[in-house]
Amino acid sequence: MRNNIITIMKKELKRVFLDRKLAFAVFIMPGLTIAVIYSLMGGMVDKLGKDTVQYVPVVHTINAPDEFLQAAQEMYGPGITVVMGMPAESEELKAKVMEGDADMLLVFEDDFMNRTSGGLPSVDSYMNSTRDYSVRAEYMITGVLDSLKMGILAQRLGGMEGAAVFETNKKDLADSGEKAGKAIGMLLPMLLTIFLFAGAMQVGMDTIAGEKERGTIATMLMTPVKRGHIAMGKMLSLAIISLVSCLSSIAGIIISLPFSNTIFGGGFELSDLAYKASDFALMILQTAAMALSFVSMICLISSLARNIKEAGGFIAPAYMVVMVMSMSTMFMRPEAGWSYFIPVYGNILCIKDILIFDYAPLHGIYSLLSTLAFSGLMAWLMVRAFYSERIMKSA
Amino acid sequence: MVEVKNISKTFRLGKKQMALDGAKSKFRTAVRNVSFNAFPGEIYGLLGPNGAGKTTTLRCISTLIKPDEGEIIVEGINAGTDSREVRKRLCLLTNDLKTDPNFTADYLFRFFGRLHGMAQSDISARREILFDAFGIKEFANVKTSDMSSGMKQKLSIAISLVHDPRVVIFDEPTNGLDIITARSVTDYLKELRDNGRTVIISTHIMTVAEKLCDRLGLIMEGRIAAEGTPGGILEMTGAKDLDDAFFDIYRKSKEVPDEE
Ligand SMILES: Nc1ncnc2c1ncn2[C@@H]1O[C@H](COP(=O)(O)OP(=O)(O)OP(=O)(O)O)[C@@H](O)[C@H]1O
Ligand SMILES: [Mg+2]
Repeated sequence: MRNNIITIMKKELKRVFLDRKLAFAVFIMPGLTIAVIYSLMGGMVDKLGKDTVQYVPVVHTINAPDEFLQAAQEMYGPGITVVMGMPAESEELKAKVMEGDADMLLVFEDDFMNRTSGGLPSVDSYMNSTRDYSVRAEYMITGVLDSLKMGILAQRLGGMEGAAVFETNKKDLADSGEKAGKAIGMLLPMLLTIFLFAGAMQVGMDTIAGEKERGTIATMLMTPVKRGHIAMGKMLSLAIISLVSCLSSIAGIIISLPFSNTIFGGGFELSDLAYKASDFALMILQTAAMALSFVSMICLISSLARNIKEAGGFIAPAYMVVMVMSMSTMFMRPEAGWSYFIPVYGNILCIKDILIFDYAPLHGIYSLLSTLAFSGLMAWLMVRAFYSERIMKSA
Repeated sequence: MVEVKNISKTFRLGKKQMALDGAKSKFRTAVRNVSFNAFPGEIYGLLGPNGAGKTTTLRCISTLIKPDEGEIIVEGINAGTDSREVRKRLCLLTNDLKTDPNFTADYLFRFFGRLHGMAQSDISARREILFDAFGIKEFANVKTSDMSSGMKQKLSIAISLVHDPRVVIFDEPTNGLDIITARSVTDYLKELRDNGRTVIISTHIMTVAEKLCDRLGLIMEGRIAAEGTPGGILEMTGAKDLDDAFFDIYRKSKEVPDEE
């Protein structure tokens, strides 16, 4: 009798491949959409970055000493424009910075250089933190002022060596692989979840509620195949279809990576991703578990609904809940271990944990157990629905 | 052989349906204590007006639904306890059988053959016979979505007969068919009878009942009001044709007060 389940599965799979529109929507669309959106987003972020680099900030100065101008010239050359102004213009220039017509204003005290040996002369700087270019100008000017400070100190102590107190060496100790993982772990679980659900939803509604609507289900029920086996055949084929559909989404992400890695924080190569075979295995296991939850839920709803429209209406709220769950994992990570017992949510959390190299096997077990319980319950209810006389009602 | 013993079936109506029919009760008894036997080599007809309970009775025999009371024995097998064995020996045809879109006639035929547990060679042999009989050969490789409704109807009949069932049940065999297709269907039913199959049909059309059926059960409001050969029923009522006989019995059945 297991043969019957396989026969039904084969037919269900064939159905999707034969229906070109459905096949396109389920297998090609997700990957294509992701690839296009990511590439576009990546391109935009890239362009933004380049703009800031090429931009030459305009810094107005009042009473700037020659030494400052020299230091700025040495550090940035034509990368910065320093304009000298009169003390009388000070208010007008502040207004310019505020409005973004200039990026920064530096007001040095009168006779600045001479005073450095006696008192503590001051430099007032004005910038606008809401403007990227202004922030960038301030960053550059801080560097110039530091170098000016060092020059004065060196003079005072007679030579550069005397001024040097310590050296700082900066190194980002974050593993480049982990950095990449963090970037991918932010978006991928959400996208996987949404596309997995969307794929299962389209096919699932058609395969069960659609069959009721078209009235073809009675022919199936007139065969000696157990109704439970018909239900299982449909459910398992849907699980396979949604997994393949999900692979398409993953392919889309991989295809778009060369163009899109700036959205993920940038600066990593695919080869940096040091996932082990076991990580992939766990990821596939969790994805399959999630697929099973979705598929069993969608199948149950489609079995209870009388037609595709009604099924769509019942499934929509479930889709919303799943979307919110998956989006929340982008920003939050719950502390409590029991969160992993929440069906679907636990799977999403686990996938994320694996991607960011922070996976706890115990949590994995929690989520798999809850998946089994949940989809088992859904499947049981679905089989019951198939044995009910209502399964033939489509009006 | 089909033995129907005192079956009753009550449906619980949905709110929508109650409003639509103006029903007073949540429950509707579609079949009340119906009994009859249909033998191999005969066409037994359930003749009755709309809503009499014909489809419900046939669905009970076909194991699609279960009667609340009573028992149905098909080829010696109890339909209530061994429904799968019963389905191996019978088929239910209706005039609105639907076929899956996007599949070819050939694929669907083989698919259902496999679900009936048939070997490939047996399926092929049945395919030869049935595709020939219904003229499906020309469009065996056409997708059902590209077929005309007549083609689809023929295909769905062939599919239902794939396992060469001993008992053939046909709900309203000629409904919605043109004269030529209807004739080919009734001819085929006669052929099945002549080959020793048990054939049960339902109809509300007098001429179909008269010309096609060997025996009739007149069903009204869920009850068998009279049973016999078309000639026997005429004799019993003394009417000149089946139409009049039917109304005669209908009127009499109204005079019997409801026991519920
Ligand atoms: N699934 C169901 N749920 C509720 N009521 C039903 C159901 N099926 C049939 N009925 C009701 O039972 C009664 C008998 O219906 P049935 O379909 O058996 O009649 P029929 O003799 O086949 O009529 P027709 O000639 O119109 O096909 C009708 O009143 C119908 O509304
Ligand atoms: Mg009917």
